[in-house]
Amino acid sequence: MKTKMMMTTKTMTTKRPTAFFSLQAFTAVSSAALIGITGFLTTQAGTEEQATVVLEDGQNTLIAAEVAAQVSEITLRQQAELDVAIAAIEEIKRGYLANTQVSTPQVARSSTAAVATPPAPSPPTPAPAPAPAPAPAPAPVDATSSGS
Amino acid sequence: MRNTVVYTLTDPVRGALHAAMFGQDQGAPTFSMSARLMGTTANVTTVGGQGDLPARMIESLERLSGLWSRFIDDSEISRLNNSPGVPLEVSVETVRLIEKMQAGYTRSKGAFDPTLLPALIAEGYGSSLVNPDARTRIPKGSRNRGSLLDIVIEGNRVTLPLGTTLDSGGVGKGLAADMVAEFALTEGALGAMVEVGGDLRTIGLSPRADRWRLAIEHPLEPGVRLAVVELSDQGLATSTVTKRRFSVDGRATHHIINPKTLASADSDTIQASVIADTAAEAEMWTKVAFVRGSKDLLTRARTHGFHAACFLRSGEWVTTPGWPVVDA
Repeated sequence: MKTKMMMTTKTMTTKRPTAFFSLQAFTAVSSAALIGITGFLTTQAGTEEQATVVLEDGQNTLIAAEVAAQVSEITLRQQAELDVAIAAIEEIKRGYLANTQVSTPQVARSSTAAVATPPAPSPPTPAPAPAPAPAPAPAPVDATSSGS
Repeated sequence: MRNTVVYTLTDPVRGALHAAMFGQDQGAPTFSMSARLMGTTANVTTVGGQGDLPARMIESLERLSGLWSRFIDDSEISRLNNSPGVPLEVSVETVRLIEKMQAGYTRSKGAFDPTLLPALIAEGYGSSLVNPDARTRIPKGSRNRGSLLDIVIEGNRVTLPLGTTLDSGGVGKGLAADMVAEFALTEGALGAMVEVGGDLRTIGLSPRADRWRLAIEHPLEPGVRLAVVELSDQGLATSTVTKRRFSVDGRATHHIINPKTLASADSDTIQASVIADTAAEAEMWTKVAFVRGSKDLLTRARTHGFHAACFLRSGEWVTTPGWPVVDA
């Protein structure tokens, strides 16, 4: 009985490789298939993700264009407001300059009146013209009060 | 800032002290510092005292800005504006500011009025010029012109009447210059000058151990001097309608509001300068020239004992007799 069992065992050992390799082959094919499917699904998911990103980029582009349009509109409005403010200052400046120019001819007239006086006799030899005095530097101050 | 009595020395005494400490030919150490605050530039100069004093003075100015700015939601002025009818505990500095405002309103017979904030916002000055995101927040029921003299002050508790709002504006800058200059003397300086956006206070000795020499800038030609004046223990303020200008519905506006019209003031004056005992007083008086005209300001200068000068639209520069001008 003991010997028969050993023989049986031996017979089984002899038959095992064929089934084993068949099973191994099947497993390998199945694994490859699974890996392939997984890879495909992963690639598919990546593609879908990329598609989503592309869509978001598109949205961002639209949003950026909208924001740019609004900023442009605001900038134009601010520019218009700035133009009005500058125009008001320019008007004040023009008035100031006009008043300054009004006083200038008066100075010119008094200069003309001075020319009408009899000229002094010229010296026999022309004296060299004195060198123009350098403009005095503004006096140092401790601070400046600018209008606010 | 501490509450300290300021002992004011006369110029000869202070000059003798200066000479004894530093010698006739050697000036006292002078320190200066500048900073951006209160929506403008601040400059401080100290004569004598410690080298870190200007930095501490700038810190004091920043603290006052935090108390009084209408562009800071939790400043004491913003809290008062948004709690009408409710007594609020505020600092001694804010109490002093409101008392100064009330005195200035009374003395100027309403030409200076710091309760015109809603009208000022309507004229385009609702956001900080330094930080446009910082906006002034006031209650919806605020009136264009409030009731300054009805503000109740009990110790450090202040109650604004319903509908009244405050703008520290120029008087806040002037009073800040006054308080910080006084602070410098209590901290050991022999002299100090504090300037905040054109509002300037001198106290004690200048770097030359005499009076402070100050220039007044031309309103239409930046960098050009209109005049140079000499001051001692006085304030100088200059206001103009050529700055802080805005546009509302195509209409040019600015920051000085006429309390009667509740719109930008329109007078013969482009720029007004006042020399008074303090920078806060000088600042408040300048408003008279824009609200009532240069003649009114010059008349009040004579009756109230201060000096004034106006640069007019005509290009004329008119001053009170005795205006302390020196060679520019």
